[in-house]
Amino acid sequence: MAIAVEKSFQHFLDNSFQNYGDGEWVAIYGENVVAHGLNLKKVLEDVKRKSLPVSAVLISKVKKTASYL
Amino acid sequence: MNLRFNCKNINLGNGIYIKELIVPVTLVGKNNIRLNFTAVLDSGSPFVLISKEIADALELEYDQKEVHKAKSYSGDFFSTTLSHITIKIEKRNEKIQIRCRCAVQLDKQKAHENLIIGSSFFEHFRVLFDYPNNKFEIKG
Repeated sequence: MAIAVEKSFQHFLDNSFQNYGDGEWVAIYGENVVAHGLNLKKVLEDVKRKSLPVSAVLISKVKKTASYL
Repeated sequence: MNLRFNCKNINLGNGIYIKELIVPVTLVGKNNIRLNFTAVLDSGSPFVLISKEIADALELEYDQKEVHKAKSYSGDFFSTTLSHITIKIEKRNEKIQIRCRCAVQLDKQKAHENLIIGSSFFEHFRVLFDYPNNKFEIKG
């Protein structure tokens, strides 16, 4: 499991996800975005519908602006 | 135990790049529900902050009537309630897992940060910033 998430995390680091909207959830599995959208629940349902192992998917939010926390 | 990560470089356009400390975490919820998220490290945040969407996906128990007002950097108020969460971070053979207090953001907002790892997490570790080399390290 950990290795699969590490691979997905590397893909996250290497990409800016320009094809997705700011604030969208993206589900990353290996080198692919397998589901995306503004509703987390629906994104997770999409992952399950595609029979992918949720435990190996990395979820992130697309960010295109600076945040001052 | 040392977990070393590369910073995330984010392109803001016009040749402007910023670095962020983002880690992959596994959050463990009710009935051992496990979901993997990216999370930003922010020592200035008092607790781990998670969105209501994430809390609900993990089926975390929280009291929506026990509301705590919180304030963002910009001064905007938002509502939170407190809960507990188990956080696991692993890389190759190194692994850390803690259970700590978290704040659940009750207001539905299109916030950019879905998950902030704040000081309730940092109480357990030291973090070394190595921005010149584009790295940071969580040390046990």
